[in-house]
Parts: sequence; C-alpha cells; structure tokens
Amino acid sequence: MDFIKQLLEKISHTQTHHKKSILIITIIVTLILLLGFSQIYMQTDMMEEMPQDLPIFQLNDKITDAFGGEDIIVIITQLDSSNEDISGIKDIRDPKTINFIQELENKLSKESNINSVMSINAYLRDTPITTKEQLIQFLELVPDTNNFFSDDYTIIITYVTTNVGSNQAKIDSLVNTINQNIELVSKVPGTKNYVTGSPVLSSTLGGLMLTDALFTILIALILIFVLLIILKKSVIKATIVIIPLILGLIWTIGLLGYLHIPITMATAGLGAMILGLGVEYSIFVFTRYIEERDKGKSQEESLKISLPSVGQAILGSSLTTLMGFLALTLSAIPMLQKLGLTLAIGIFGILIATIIVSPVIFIMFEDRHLLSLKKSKRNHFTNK
Amino acid sequence: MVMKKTIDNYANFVAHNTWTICIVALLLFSIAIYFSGQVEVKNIDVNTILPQDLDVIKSMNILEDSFGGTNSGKIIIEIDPSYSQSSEPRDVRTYEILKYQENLQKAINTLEDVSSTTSSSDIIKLLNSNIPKTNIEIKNLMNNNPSFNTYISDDKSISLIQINLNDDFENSIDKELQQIIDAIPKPSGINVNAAGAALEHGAVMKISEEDMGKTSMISMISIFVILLIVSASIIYGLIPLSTIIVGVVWTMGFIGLIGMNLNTATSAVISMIMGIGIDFGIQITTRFREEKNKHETTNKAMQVTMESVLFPMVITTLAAVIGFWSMGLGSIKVLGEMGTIMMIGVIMCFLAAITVVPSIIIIVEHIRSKKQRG
Repeated sequence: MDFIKQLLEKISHTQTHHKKSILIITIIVTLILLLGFSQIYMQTDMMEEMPQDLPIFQLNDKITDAFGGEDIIVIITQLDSSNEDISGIKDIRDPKTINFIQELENKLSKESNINSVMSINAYLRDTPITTKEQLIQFLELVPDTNNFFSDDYTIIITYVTTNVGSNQAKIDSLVNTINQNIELVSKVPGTKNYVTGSPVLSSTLGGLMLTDALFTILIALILIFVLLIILKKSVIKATIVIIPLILGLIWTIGLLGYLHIPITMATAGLGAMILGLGVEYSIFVFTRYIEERDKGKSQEESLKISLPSVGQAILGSSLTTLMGFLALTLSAIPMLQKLGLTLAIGIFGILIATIIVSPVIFIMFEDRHLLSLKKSKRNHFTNK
Repeated sequence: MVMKKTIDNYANFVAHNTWTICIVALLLFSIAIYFSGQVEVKNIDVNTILPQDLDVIKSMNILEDSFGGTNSGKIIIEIDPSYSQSSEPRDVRTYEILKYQENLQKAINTLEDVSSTTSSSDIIKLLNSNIPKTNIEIKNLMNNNPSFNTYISDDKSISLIQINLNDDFENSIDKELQQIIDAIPKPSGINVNAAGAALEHGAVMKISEEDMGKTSMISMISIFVILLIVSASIIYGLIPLSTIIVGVVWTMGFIGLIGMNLNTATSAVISMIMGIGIDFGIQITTRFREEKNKHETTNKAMQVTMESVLFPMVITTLAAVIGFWSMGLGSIKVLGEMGTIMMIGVIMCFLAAITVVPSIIIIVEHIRSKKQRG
C-alpha cells in the first residue's frame, strides 16, 4: 500500500509542475480515441452473442449448412379490412394477387442483393390460372401451398432470401429495394403489403440501440450535472466534477472501437451506467482537494495530501467494482463476457481520468480564477 | 439542517438498536429468500424487447398470429459417418427411415408442448397414401418434387422432422424429445438428435443459470480476497461482504415480489451489484476502524461513523440510481429492465450497508470486548 501512496504522491507532484504537458497529452489521447468512435459497431445478431460451442448450436449449424441458412425477409400481402373500395378483393386467393406476386418475384429476382424469392409462384409456373375457382381448386390439390396462406385466407406471404448478414446499412438498403419494387408493381385493390423478418428486426434493433445509447447518456449526464449543481451550489464546481466523467466515457467508447468490442443489447446502456458509477470518484477527489485548499494549503500541498489519501480509497473501491465486472468475462455467454469487459474498461477509464486529469483541471480552473474557495482563504490562491 | 438532523437521529438509532435492526433484517432476508425463488431466467425474444408500436413488430405479430409462433424444434436424422464403409443405408430415403420418422412423430405428437410435426414421411403419405416398401418407389416419388427439399438435404444424408411447439412450451422439451429418441428403436447406421431454435433457448437459459451462480461466486471470492488484503483482517474482510450477501438476496426477493424475471442479458446483474454494493460496506467498516481508536465506546464510534459516511453514501446512491434509471428511458425493454434491477440492487445494498453492517460491527465489537474482559 505504501507503494501506491508513493506513486500517487509522485503523480500529484507531476500534476502541479507539468499541468500543461498533462493537458496536452490528455487532449492528444482524447483525439486519438475519438477516432476510434468510427470503428464502433452494433452487434444486433443475438446468435453471435450465444455460446456457439454448445452441442445444440453445432447441430443447428449442421442443419443450416445442409438446408441453407440465408437471412429470410418476409413480404406479407394482407386483405385491408379498412378498405371500402368495391373493386377490392375479399379473398386473398385471387388471380390478381397471384399476378402481383409473380410480377414482384420477377422484379426482385433481378436485384443483386437478393439470393432467391420463394412464393406460391413456384407451384403455379406450369399451371395457368385465370379464375378464382381454378386457383382454389389447384390449391386444394396441392396441400403444400397452404404454407403460403393464412388459415382464413386473408394473408399470403412471399419469402426473400439474402446474405446481407447483420449489416444495418445493407439491410436498410435491401428493405428500400423491396419497398420500391412493391411500389412499381400494380397494387391489388383491397390489399396492403408489409416487409418484415429477422434481418429487418435486427436492423431496427441496431438503430434503436444507437439512439438509446446516446439518449440515455445525455439524460444521465444532464441529471447528474443538475445533482452536482444542487450539491456543490455552483455550476463551475459541477463542471469540474463532470469533465473527467466525459473524458473517461470518450476514452472508453474509443477503446471499444479500437479493440473491436461491439455494442450489444446488454452494453447499450454503458454510458449511463458508468456515469452513475464513476461520479463518486470525481466527487471524492474534488471535495478532498477543496477541503485542503480551504485550510489554507497551497495547490501542491493540497494535492499531495488529497490525492494519495482519496486515491487509495478510490483504487480499493474501484478494484472491487472491477472484480465484480471482470468476473463476467468468465461467463460462457459471449454477450455477458463483453458486458463485463466493457464495464471494466469504462470504470478503468473514469478512474484514470479522475486520478490523472481531474487535479490538473482543478488547478487550471483555479489559475483562471474560475473556481472560488472560501473568502478567508483567497489569499492562498497565489500560493502555489 | 433537516438532513443533518435526520442523519444524526438515524446514527443514534442504529448505535442503540442493534438487535432490533438485526432481527428485522433477518426477517426481511427470510422473506426475500422465499420471493427470490420465484425469479426465473427467461430467454430474450427480440420481438418482445422492441417497442410494440413499430411497424416491423406489428407485421411480425401478424405473421405469428396467422402462421403460428416461431417456436420450432427439429429432429435431425443423419447417416452416421462412421458407417461409411458398411453396407448400411447411405441415403435417408429408405422405407426403414421413413417408417422410423412416422413412429417418432406419433410419439412426439403426444407431448403437451407440441402442436404438430411434419416430415418427408407425411408428404410421401399424401402422395401415395402409405409409405412404399421399396426404396426405388420412394426415390421415384421424391425425385423432382420440391416439397421434399425442406426435409431432405441435397446430398440425401440428412432428414428432418419439423416440430411446431406451442407458444408457452416448457424448457424441458429437450429432455422429453431425447427420451422419445432413446425409447423408439431406430434403424442401424443413423444418428438421431433433437435440435432447432426453440431448444437453443432452453440450453442458453440453463447455461445462464449456471453462469449466474459461477460468476457470482467468483465475484464474491475475488472481492473477499481484495478485502482481506486491504483490511488485513479476516473479521473486517468478512463484515463488508454482508452488504452484498444481504443486498443481493433482498434485491432478488424484491424483483420476485414485483413479478420481474431475469433474462440472458440481465442474469449478469448479481456480479455487477456485488461489485458496486461492496463499496458501501467498505466505507462503513473502514471509517469505523478509524473512529474506534478515537472514541471510548463502540456505540459512539459507530454514531460518528454513520454521521460521516451517510451523506456521501446517499449522494453516491443517488448518482448511481440516476444512471440506472436513465437506462429505462430508452425504447429497448431489456436495457430498462437491467437499469431497474441495478437500481433496486444499489438501493438494497445501500440499505443493507446502513442497517446490517453497523449492527454486525457493534455485535462483533461487543463480543470482542467481553472476551477481553473475560
């Protein structure tokens, strides 16, 4: 423990004498890690986050290899009950619907990002259908065709297979392509179309994860800032406390980008979580520093006393928190391993920002007379 | 001033009502154990974690309502590769295998969770009213018929039985299917296994539960080791652990009481709550050891300890609660659930730290002083 105390004392000495260098290094590191943001990606494929070495997953992989495992998008063509058009069809088993699907299939089959289209058309290619009665008769003869219809014959589905994977931009582009093609084909009166399926769900999830991550960070940041203003009764003091949190958060997200650790459903709330957990470190260091300054000690003396004492407590406290998070890296489930690692990086980032950078921020705010101490002690401002 | 007075009053109360607090905490602990038994680990369903008013979810619901749930299992029947040199069948399109499939289906259809099964045997029977006895007849019926592609692989080495499960199927379905596979005599030269997405759910949930126990234990042991090193005392290394033991049990009891469950993502919360909650226990024990040397009585030392640490602990708890509560403001349900459980966890650990920990410290100190006097 003496070693840590000595190390923290040395750090406090460096912070007082090389504050500009530390600030420049911090800015450079932050800028470099900001570049890592571009490499952040969302993991929306839940299967990727499951323990693939379990026998059940290996068996299912075997089935996928043997029977094809492309991503399937489903086009639903449904009777529109709200449509009062007299010419609208009342039973989905209508030659107009079949023509629509045939035309759509022809168009979609030409698209480069579509592997295949599977529809009722596969059974009707060699059987010209002109009337509804003919169609119903044919469908009764081939029971397999029922797979494309709902039991009440209000819905018919068309499957589109693709290999876009979980890339959100590619899925969005594919869905746009499908929707554009649906628009190009003459619509069947009295019906409406939807595009759905697992890839569309994944893409939606990816979009929501990003907005949720940003939104929850923003809300947590604002609320914690307000809490700090109330507690410290000063916007400046609240700003000083929150700066290391923001730095730690930027470093964490940047590191995740460089280390290719994706944001998953479990880690999308990372920002809000580590802001909530990390704020105490910053509060403790700042409060203790101010306590010493209020006693009339110089900046260097105040740091030399406050950083080793609070620093040791923070190190002990963060170490136990890190242990809780790092224990998750031993989980068999990749999603939980990433959650543990991500949170551990987050806490570590805020810890480093608090111990290394925040004292420099205190000093710089003081030097610029932005941080006011107790009136009776103001003459010590110059006593560096 | 009001807050300071409240803190002072509470500190005084804790210092002088040790046994009452202990008994109440123990009572709550027992109730929490009962309710924690009602917490289950559920699988994450992408459909249900997204906002239900999204178009993609609405259309997915239409699909599920009209074409049945997406819960499906499979029986995979494959030619055993170790039989490559034998005279056993190298093609699943045989009378024996089709008949075997028929027998399996009959048994599987009797299971409560199964709504229907389909296989190549069903299609053959639709085309020919029964399963032909010769393999040539079977192959003739199957050739150039795309209906069989869903059930028989291109190289004819794998045949599938599709099992449609009810929406509320039990995770024990994998065991029930395995029992049927074991009970029905199979033709030689084939491997038969239960598979499918629905069985993945069960396997993941089982491993999630095992994981929860394993990671919590590792978390607790590593925290204890750190506490031993930092406090240089077995007793004062153990006392802060009561924060997370009681805090976690209260948390699980509370979420059981309000009808919440865990899922694959939130099953990690116990380790996380332990990591966060232990700080409260450490703060109180560390400060008490400092104050103990400055004051004559244990009760006075505890009163001063509580007066000093309560306010910072309230602030820390408040900040953490804000962070976790914010997670619930997003649109992804699972994040909100994780935030809620973490929020409850932090509050419970805080409550455990300001009730159980001081009481245990006072009791331990009284026992120690009695021993010293004795």
